[in-house]
Amino acid sequence: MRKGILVIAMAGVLALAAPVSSPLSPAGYQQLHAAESNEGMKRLNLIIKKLRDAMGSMKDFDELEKAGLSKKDVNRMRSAMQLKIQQMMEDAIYAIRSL
Amino acid sequence: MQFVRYNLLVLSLLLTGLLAAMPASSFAGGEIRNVNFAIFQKVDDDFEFEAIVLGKFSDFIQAMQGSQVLLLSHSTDSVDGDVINLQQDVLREADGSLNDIGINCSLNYRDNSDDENTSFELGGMCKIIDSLNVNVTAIIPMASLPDTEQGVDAWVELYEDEKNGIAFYANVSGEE
Repeated sequence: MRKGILVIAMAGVLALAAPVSSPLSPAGYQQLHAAESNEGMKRLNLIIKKLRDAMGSMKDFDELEKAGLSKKDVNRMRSAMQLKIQQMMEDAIYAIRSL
Repeated sequence: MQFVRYNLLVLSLLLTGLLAAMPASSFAGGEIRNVNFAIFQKVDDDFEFEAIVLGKFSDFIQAMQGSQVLLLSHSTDSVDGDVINLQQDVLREADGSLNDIGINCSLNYRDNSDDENTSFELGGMCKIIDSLNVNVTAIIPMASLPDTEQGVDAWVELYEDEKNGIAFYANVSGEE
């Protein structure tokens, strides 16, 4: 009798445990990981593109001075762009860590 | 006595905090204006951009028939020294990744008003990246802006990139 109850209890435990362990087989986990990495790489590529554009525009600020803007004004604009670049670099570092 | 001193200290700290939290417009010496900025691209070869377009906003848009709007912007409560960054970011999927196209502008706003006259200026640069990833960089020299608050309903052309048929217009307006 006791043996019968033990068998039923074990069957119950297995039945409850089965749905938890079944969705992620090793192959499934690898696929999920690959998909996440792919999304992460896409995000990183985009941040790097934006970062490259922003850094490239830093040299254009010299042109503003040539166009007659005061040095003080150009320096303020440059500082604003540097803050944006700093923020993007932090985003890039976060994206790299998330890979 | 110590209690009174403590209360005074708390009161002064609260007042300092309130002053710090107040918007810049409340204690800035200059005028408060909204900066309106527009970019147009020629679509009709016969169309010519005007240096100044008189009239209300509807007249302005009407006068721009022959071009298409690339960007319209309204920056409220601008004060002297504001750096106005405009970004129209279009992320387009291509070859499994995203391309970044659109318009990026970094504009320098100056309020040179004094007790007798109002005077506002805008300049800066804009990058226009089209779907072919061809960059158009426009360096916009500082130029005076018409002030609708002073009864001058007009938009002034700040700069025109003739090669690419792109023009940049602006004015300032007061409270709506």
